[in-house]
Amino acid sequence: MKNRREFIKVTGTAIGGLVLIPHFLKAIPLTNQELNEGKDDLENILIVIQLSGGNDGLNTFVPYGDSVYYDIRGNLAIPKDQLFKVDSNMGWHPAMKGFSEMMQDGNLSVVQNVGYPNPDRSHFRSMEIWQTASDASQYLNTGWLGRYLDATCTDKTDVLKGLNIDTIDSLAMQGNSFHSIALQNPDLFEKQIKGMNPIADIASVNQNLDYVRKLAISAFEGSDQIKTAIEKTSAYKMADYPDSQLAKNLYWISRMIKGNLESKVYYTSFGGFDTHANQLNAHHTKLEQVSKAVKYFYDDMKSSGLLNRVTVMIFSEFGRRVTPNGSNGTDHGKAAPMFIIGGNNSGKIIGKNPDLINLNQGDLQYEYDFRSVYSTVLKEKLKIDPTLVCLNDFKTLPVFN
Amino acid sequence: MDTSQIYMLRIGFGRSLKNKQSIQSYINDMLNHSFKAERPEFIRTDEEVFDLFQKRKNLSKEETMALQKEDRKRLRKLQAWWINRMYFAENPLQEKMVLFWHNHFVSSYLKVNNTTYMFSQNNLFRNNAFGNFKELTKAVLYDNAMLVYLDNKQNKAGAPNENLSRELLELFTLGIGNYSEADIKEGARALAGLSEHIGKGHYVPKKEDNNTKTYLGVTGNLKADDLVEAIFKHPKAANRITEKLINYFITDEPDQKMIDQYAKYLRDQNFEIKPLLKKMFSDVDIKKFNGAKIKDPLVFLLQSYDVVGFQKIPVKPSLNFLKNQGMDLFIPPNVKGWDGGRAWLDSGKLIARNAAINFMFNPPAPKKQTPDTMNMNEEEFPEDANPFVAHITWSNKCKTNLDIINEFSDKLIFDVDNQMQQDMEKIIKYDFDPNSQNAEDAVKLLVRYMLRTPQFQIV
Repeated sequence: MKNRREFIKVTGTAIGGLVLIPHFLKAIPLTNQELNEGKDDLENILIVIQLSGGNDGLNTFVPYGDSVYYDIRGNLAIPKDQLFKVDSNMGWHPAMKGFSEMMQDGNLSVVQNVGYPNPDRSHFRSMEIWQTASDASQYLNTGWLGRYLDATCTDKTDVLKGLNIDTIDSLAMQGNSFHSIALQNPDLFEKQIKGMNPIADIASVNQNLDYVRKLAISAFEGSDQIKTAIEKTSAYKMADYPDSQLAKNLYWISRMIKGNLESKVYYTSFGGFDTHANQLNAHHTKLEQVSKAVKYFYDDMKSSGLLNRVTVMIFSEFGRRVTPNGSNGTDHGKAAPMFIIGGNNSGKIIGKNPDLINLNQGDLQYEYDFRSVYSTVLKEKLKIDPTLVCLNDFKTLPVFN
Repeated sequence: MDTSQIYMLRIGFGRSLKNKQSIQSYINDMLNHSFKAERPEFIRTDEEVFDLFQKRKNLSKEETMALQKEDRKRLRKLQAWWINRMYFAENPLQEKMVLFWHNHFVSSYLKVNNTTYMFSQNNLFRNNAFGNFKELTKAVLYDNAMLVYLDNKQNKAGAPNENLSRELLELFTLGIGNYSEADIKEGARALAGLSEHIGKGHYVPKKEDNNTKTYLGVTGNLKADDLVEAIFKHPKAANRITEKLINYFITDEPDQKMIDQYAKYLRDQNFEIKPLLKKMFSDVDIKKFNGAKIKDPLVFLLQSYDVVGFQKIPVKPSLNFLKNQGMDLFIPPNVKGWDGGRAWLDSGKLIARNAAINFMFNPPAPKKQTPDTMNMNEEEFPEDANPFVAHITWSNKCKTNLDIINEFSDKLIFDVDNQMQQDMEKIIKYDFDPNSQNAEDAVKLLVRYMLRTPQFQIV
């Protein structure tokens, strides 16, 4: 009997080369042609990044041309000479080099002063409003992306149309049926595939718990497809991505996209923006992590020829108070900018510079309803009538070409 | 987890202690006040089924099949009856013991094919829930369901069937290594002719073996009761049952010292179960065994229903769930019963558990019943027609997000680690207001998260 090596050689020769060997055995990156085969713009992918805690928009995309900013913000203001200037009024925080570069590429647009009427300053409530796309006085138990998935998924058992890279479910992805899952750490799958103990890093307190944890790694609908996507993309290494939880999550999203997972929507959140005290350093660190992670993901998508199909939308549940508090920080505020990155982007600043004079209880007033931004993405990128997601009468914005 | 809840998950089906009573006095109350169960109207009387039994030889194959199909529906009703009884039990420990005996003196409807027999056996277990192990063993040998399940109606003088005699020693009492094959043969002779009859079994004179037998060293014209008397003189008579009780109530991995100690106590108490349970629940430091068991599908289900506030049980989904989880009531997989422990879970079953949780928070709208769509299944449990809505409540001492998190993790999670605590504080943040209009929605997200953690699979 022939040994296994010979058998492979013979078979390979007989059918003309290595075509039968699956990608994961090759362990080399997929070609751009392989990545995009048979795709059109109906297969656009949306990635939503939720900055939890209330990001200080004013210190992220800074109205440096307005002297009032320096008057009010005082020692929390970002000095002009450190900013990456976009025009004579607005500039990116010094930690946001990556965002500045994406904008120069024409692939990032900013929607200024995004909020909603009668804003709520509670983290939970405001996040709930953003996630469900409700009015401030309305209580919904489905999320806007959940309703999108309900409207577009034909098969009830189709649970992978949305993937949330997080330890907890997001209300945004919650529909009447379950078309999305939360996956805390795809790395566990990779370890399992390689035959390693997937929970070796988790401190064991209880053997029964270890047992259930191992089962839980693949105990959900869709785990087989995720395993397949991971196997196909084993050539891509996490070490190449920057070192932050957001970067790690985007790394996995990149692999899922490259591995041709059927998800249309990816969701991930990144916390630490609730900067009530000693804001400058903490905020700098967070923004740098966001900028580096998103820029790396952007470059990754671009060099893989995937950028045209990908849209990244970044939001937070509210901005922060214009006037600093007494602890070198800022309290919960209202309107703030949103960032949209990806192919066919207008690359513009949409809306006025923040109005620092006419405030609402010390907060920026909103100019655009966040549901206009959602409607724009739904219509232009996900190709669905926003009314099917219960978003009626929100005008779309010129975010995309 | 709250210490009283660690007990509640073991002595009942996961409902938490609602009154202010101490857990020990609650347990003692339950041990002292058993409840009887009336025969539900859908269960035919012993006389009715005996009549049918007499007539069965005159029935055509089709008629027999039709009767069985009809009886199968009764079994589903009986399953529903029992699971409701567990959920609403005034004395959960008693129903928990009924389930224990069901899984010890195993009979399966799939072979017995007689809902009345299964009900009678279930009620025998209920009436003897905390009774005397020896006396219950005697009664089980006369139990109609058991006589059918272990083929004793085929056991007659000159043509023995050893099935019941073997399991009496191997599974019900002494366990392998404590008897000989000769004992099994002699036991079968003693049981020959013991067959089903109205209400309970009896010896059919012409099938009886009235010659002398020697069983576990005892000689005479032995009958069923004599076998049991002989067995319970054996020094190991209490060991197997004690191990199973510790396993059932305390830990999936009982240690030998503990077994020997309580087995001796059970013997000293002349095989009375009540003092054993009393001692076990008061002696054992239950906190040391927190997390020592994999949750069985019933506790998983009923505990979840309790926390999501279901005032009644969605019958059909519950029965289907239990069946798919391998815990079909009245239909244990074999004479050994359910193995329990880790055998309760594999990744498929974990997926199904998570899907069941999703169902509790988002049950599909009930189908409209029109004459066209009506069929046997939809009529089966009319009570399922009304929608089930999760409604979660919490005590008014909860003021902050951490209070809420603690209140529910005390009830649901055997051990909260840092990661889990962080996750929960992400779901309900520090500025959470339990009196706000959307507070319940937030708490629902929290509870749904908890019910789907690996930790919730463990008690």
